[in-house]
Parts: sequence; structure tokens; C-alpha cells
Amino acid sequence: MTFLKLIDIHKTYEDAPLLCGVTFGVERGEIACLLGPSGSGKTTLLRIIAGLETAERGRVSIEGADVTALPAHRRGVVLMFQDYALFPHRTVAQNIAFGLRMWRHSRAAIAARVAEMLALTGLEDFADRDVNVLSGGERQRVALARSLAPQPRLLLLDEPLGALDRNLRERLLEDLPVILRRVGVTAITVTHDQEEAFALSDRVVLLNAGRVVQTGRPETLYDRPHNAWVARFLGLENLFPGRLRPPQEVEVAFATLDMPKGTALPQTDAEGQLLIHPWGIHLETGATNPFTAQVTRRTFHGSYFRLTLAVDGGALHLNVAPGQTPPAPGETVHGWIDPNALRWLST
Amino acid sequence: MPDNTDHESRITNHESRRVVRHSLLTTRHLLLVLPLLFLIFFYFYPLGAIFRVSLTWDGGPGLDALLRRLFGSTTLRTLGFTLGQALLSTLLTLLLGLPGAYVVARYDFPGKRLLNALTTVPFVLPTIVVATAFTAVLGPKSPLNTALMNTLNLTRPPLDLRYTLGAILLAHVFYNYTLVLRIVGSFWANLDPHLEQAARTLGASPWRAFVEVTLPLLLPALGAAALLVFIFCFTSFGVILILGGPRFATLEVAIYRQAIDMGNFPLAAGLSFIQILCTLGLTVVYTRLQGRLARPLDLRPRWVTQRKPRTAGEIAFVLANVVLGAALLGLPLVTLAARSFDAGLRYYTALFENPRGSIFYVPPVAAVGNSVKFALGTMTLASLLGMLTATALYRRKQGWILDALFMLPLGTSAVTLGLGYLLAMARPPLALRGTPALIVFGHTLVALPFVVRNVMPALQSIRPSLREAAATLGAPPARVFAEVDLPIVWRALAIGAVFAFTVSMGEFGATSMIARPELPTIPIAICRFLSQAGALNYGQALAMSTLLMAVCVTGFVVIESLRPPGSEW
Repeated sequence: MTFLKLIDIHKTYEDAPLLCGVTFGVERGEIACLLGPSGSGKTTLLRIIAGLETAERGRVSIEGADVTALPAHRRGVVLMFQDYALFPHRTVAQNIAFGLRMWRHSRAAIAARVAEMLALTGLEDFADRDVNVLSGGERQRVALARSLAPQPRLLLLDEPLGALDRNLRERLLEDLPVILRRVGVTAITVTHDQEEAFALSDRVVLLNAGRVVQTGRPETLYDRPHNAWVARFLGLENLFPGRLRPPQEVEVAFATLDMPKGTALPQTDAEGQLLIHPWGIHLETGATNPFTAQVTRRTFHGSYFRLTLAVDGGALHLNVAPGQTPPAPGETVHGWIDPNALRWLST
Repeated sequence: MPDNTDHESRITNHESRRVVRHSLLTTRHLLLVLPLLFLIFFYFYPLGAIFRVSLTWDGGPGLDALLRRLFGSTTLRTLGFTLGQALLSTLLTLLLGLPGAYVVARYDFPGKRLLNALTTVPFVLPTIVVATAFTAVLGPKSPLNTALMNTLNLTRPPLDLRYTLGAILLAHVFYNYTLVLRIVGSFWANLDPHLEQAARTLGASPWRAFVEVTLPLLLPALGAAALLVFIFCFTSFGVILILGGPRFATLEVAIYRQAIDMGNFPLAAGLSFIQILCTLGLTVVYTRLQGRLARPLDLRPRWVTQRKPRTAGEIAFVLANVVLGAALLGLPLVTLAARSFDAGLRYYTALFENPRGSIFYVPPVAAVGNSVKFALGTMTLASLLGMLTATALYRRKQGWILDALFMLPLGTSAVTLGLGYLLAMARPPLALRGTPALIVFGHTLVALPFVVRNVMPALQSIRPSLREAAATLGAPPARVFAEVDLPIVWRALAIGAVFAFTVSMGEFGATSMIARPELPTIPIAICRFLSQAGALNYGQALAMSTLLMAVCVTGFVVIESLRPPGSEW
């Protein structure tokens, strides 16, 4: 049985549709991620799951029970806010104990659980600290400890790393899933950053303009985006308008390319978009899918060079490891494209 | 290369700042001379006279005598009533104001801007107008009584709430309801709603979340509002004198009666002494409370914290509070204006007559002329002194003690001030008793804090780099002030000036102590009309009050139009 189910959620904000029939599920123990550009309705969706907003239509069920009408404090669903919302009039330990007190745990149980949470998040020495003097990273950990303390059925994290500076973000991007998996909590995070979504979650639910566009494992999503919008949103740039030449070829402005053997393509003469994964572009002469292009830009990024190649009808972008000396702007290059890196996106 | 330029510019910047600061420091001290002298002669000197008279009672350093007389049963009863009514008023105001503050803080609804603007009205309305308005609402000929008599076929009005504790409480709630709305509401409006929502998802019911999270965070604002309301009600004068009648007396009223009706200046001074100690104590409690309770809060912009009411319950709640606020603020004023026309224009034309045996030596309308003259004088003097004070003190670190010094008159009651003038200005060096100038000085002292409070934040809002840029471009300090500061603060100064004008027009407590009978101001005239029997006298009080209300509401409209959109004071 699916642990959390959202069925046909509708919500308008100031007469404009915000969520239009969102349906998806999350399994027990899974870490799901709602990914989408700002304004796609993901935070509102999270607030509807938490019970802080009500949907105009649709149902939310947890463990098979309909919770649509259940008030926030009886759902056992904790929301960790982007700004953490730590209670400024309480110490670190009192913040962590808050949910336990609300759920009427005994004093002894509260003390034990608070100590456990402090240890889990590495805050042992912070118990009696004033939350107002903590650094951003420390605040984030207090918020996490406070959210996990009452052992919520479901933990919701709104942009959990959004308020942190870059270095701390990168470190916590590794720590956060470790802590969540150790506890074994079912969690949904919300983010607009695809890298964060990929690193944190088992499954990504991609939202755009109030609709679910695609769901799946992060690597599947990246490898096989459903459409050009998804590809662009995930940072895939090599998109070319093309036309199918059945059975196995696609014609784009700069070449006619072989598609991988065994892919099921629609057997009609259809228009669409061709996505070329950058890892399939090889800058050496080859017999399969050969092309000629001119280098227009080369930038150095530390662990790789980024090249932009001008071809008829657009540009190819790819990264080159710095071991080899990449061609300079102005040079003409010959290369080939691995058919396995080609994806046909119908419109 | 870029590093180098950066370094150089930093040096220039630093040096220019030092130069500017140095030259301004000396100028600043000079700026304070005039305001300080004013404060010494027209605040501390009269207060000193009160202390001197109360402590030298019975001809010697009679602290014993003072205590014995003061703590006679009458004084104790007065003190008890003063505290009791202030406490009741405060509780009642909080009870009614808190839901209103919540509505203002969390909801966005049509007409909110208008309502917000209307909450300024009580701040500019003189107590005498409000008290008169409430006699019109609560008295025997009130619209309510007329309606009841017509529907129930009664021959006598069933309700006369004048001279009751209820009337006093109601008028105090009128005054302070918007104070709670403003202080608590604006603090609440910026309180992060995520805090309460976080508590909710952690398992707290709405009520529990309010008690555990919101209430503790609101405490500083609540405490501030409650204490201010308490202090205002504690020193209430016009409302008690007119709505309480002879049965009720606060310390403030007792001081007035002892000094003016009985001529017992030592007892009046002794009562003032107690009053000053009480307000001083309350102010100390207030600052200590605030220091202890204030927590660093992440304040949120309002568009994050406010939303439209959605469910039927929410709409009903918002509507109920809006109606309550509008009725509380609007009803007395509308009734006042309406009843002033009960006899057509008769009440107004009577103001121009000077019948034999009149309670005035001049046509009553002369009071209007007197008030306007005093108000213009007050406006000029208060603006000048206020501007000087604010310019000298706006850098808090250097001036917080002085800053507090200039706010002191706010915490001193008007009647006490008037008594101080009566006692101190009767003989040289400042033999000003009975002169029109003394009235202007008294009003200026009351109005000065308003000017300073309006101008200071405006000055503080100017980024130092603007002045530094002007200085490095060759402007000497006076020129910097004229070219940078003045264009930015003139609005604030104008608001302060209009405030000073309305404060002076409505000032009653101090004026009632020091005005000569043949030189009445509007509030004094109203008070005299109210103390006389007869429909025409009462009618003239209504007419005069309506005129004064019109002046103050005009002042309020000017203030509102001067205020930059979206700002609060």
C-alpha cells in the first residue's frame, strides 16, 4: 500500500490556478523530492500535506486513512520551514522538546529523546544555548532535530538547504540524507535546485505550473526526460528540432543521426526534439554519426573545460577533462556522436 | 591594481568621515543650548517648585507632615480610585483591542487602509472633545434614549450613563483601543507566521500554539501597550472631570480641585509629588520589562504575514472587529456633530454673542482666536526646538540619556505641569504667570516630544554616506544640513509641526491651571459651558467641540497626506 497518496489536488491563489490536479504517491521510508521552478506550487503542496492549507479539491491519505480534514496538529506530519522557524524564546533543548511535549510524552522520555536527537545532529554541547546566537548551519541542525524528535510519520522539508551559504550547503547535502536514512523517516523535500534534488532523494516529482510533469528516480529523470521543458529545466542544453526518419534515423539541421538500436520510436514521420547527452559527443573522427563544427567558446572550470561548438541550427555544449588539450575558439573540429546518447522527445 | 584603488578610496572615506564627525560634534553641542535652557526653565524649574512646596509644608522640611496629610483617608481613596480605574480601563482595552490587533496583523481586507488611517484620529482628538462627545452619546437626550422613548412610549429617558464609572471606562477604551491596535498589531504583523505553523505541525492545537509561541513573543508589545494605556488612564484628567462629575476624582483631578477650587497649593503639590513618583515608577518598570522580554526576532514583511479572510468564520471575525472599531471610533464623533445641530445653527450663532451675565467677559468665539494664536506660537517654537534637539541627538549612542531627558515631559501629567507653573512663575526670576507667553511655553513643552519623535527617525534614516558624499564634494556642515538633511526631513518636520498645532489646540490640563479667565482657549470654553446648566450652554459646548474636532480632523488629514505611502509612525 502506498504510504502517502495525493489524489487530484486543486488549489487557486487569488483566482489564479496554482495546483491543477496533482496526483502522486510516496512509499514508506522513501525520500521524495518535489522539484520545480519557483511558482510551480511545490511549497503550497507541502503545506497542504502538512494541513496548513486546504485544497479546494482532492484528497490526501496517509497509511490508507483519509487525512484531508484532519487539522495540522493531529496529522503527525512535521514541516521543517526554510527559515527553520526556531522559537526565539526557547533554548536549543526546549525547541527540540517542543513536539514531544505536545504529544504528551513523559518528562523522562522527553529528556532521553532530546539527548538522542542532540547526539544524532552533533549538537551535544548546544542543549542550553540561546537559538538566536547560532550560526546558519547550527540552526538548520536544531530545526532538523526538533522535527525528528516526535518521530513524525512523515517529515516535510521546505528548501532545507536554501538558507545556507554554498560551502555549508555542499557539506550538508551529504549529511542530510545520511541522517534521514539512519532514522528511516519517510520524507518529502522541496527544492528548486536539481542538484539538491538528485543528491537528496530516492525519487523526484517534477512540477511545473501546478502539474506533475514527470516522476522517477533521479538518474532516470536525467537520462530520459519526458519532454524538452524537463530537459531544459534539468540543465540539458543540446536540444535540436528534428524530424524522424523511420525506422532508426533522426534528421536535424547539421546531420542525419542514427538512433540507438532497439529503441521504440513512433513509426511515423513526426516532428520533435532531439536531445544529445553531452557524454556522447566525441571530438575525434569516427564512422558513426560524424559531424564538423567550429569552436566558439572555451571556458575553464577547474575540473573540466567547457566547450561550445557551433553547428548548423544551434550549438553543442560539452565538458572536456583537462588532461587533453581542448581545441581553441576558432578551430574547426571533427567528431562523432554515440547513438546511445540520443533521446527522441516528441512534442 | 583594483586592490590599490579600493585601498585608497577607503582611506579617503575614513578621513572624510572623521573630519565631518569632528566638526559636527561641536556644532551639535551648540544646537542643544536652546532646547536645554527651555527644558530647564519650563520643565525642571516648575517641577522643582512642586517638590519645594510639598517638602516645606508647614513651614519646615516637613516630610513627616507631608506623609501624614497625604496618607489621610481621602488621598488614599483617590489614589485607590486612580489605580483601580486605570487597571480596569487597561484590562478592558486589552480585551477589546487584542482581537482587533490580530485582525489588523494577519488579515488583508477591503477598507483596511481607511481603518488604519482612522485609528490616528484619537491621537489628534483633544480629551475635552471626546468627553463632550461621550456626554452626547450617554446623556439623557442621546439618540439611543430618544429611540427608546419613542418605541417604548416612555415619558422620561431610561438611560443616563453620565457620571458613572462605565462612562469613564468607555472613553478610556475609545482613546486607547487604537493604541493597542497600533503597538500590538504592528508588532504582530511582522511576527513570522511560520513560528506558529511550526508549532502546529509539531502537534500543537491552535490555542496551544498561541499560548506557547505567539503569546510569549507578543509579551513585550503587550506589556508596552498595557503600560502606556495604564499611564494614560492613570493621569486622565478631562475625561474624569467631565464624564465622572463630582463623584469621581483621580489624582490629576484632585490636584486641579485642590489648587483651583480650594486654593490649597501645598496639598496639590503633595498630590503632584505622589503622581510624579508613580509615573516615574511605572516608566522604570516599563523599561526594565522591555529590556528583559525583548527577543531578537526575525521580522517578516507584511505581504508574507497577511492574507485575505477566506472561510465564513474568518470573514465574520474580521467583520465583527471592523464594526466594533468603527462604532467605537465613529459613533461618539458622529453623534457629537449631529447633536450640535439639534437647534439648527442656534448653538453656533450663540457663540458670537456676549450677553450680560455671561460666563465669559468676551464673546465665546474669541476663544477660537486665542486658541489659534497660541497654537501658531506653539507650532513655531516646538518646530524650532524640536528640529534643534533631533539634529543634536539623532545619533543614539551619543545621546540616549539626553534623548530620554527630552521624552520626560511625555510622562509628566499636564495638570502637574500647570501646577508647577502656578507655583514657580508667580515671582521673579520668571514672573510669567497669567501671560499668554506662558501658555505657549507650556503647550510647547507638551508638543516637543512629538516633534522630536517624528523628526529623529527621519534624520536617522539618512545614510551617513549621503552626508559624506556632500562633504567630500565641498559642502560645509551647515550646507550639508540644508542640502541633504532638510529636503529629506521636511515632511517629518511638517508632520511634527501639525501635531504641535493640534496638541496646542486641544491642550486642556495645563491650560486649565494657568489660563486667565478673560483669555480662554477653546477647551476651557467648552469646559465652562459644560459646567453651566441649560440647553443653550450645553448646545454651545457641543458646537465648540465640533469646531475643535473639525480643526483636529483637518490636522489629521494634513498629517496623513504628508506621510509617505505605506509608512507608519
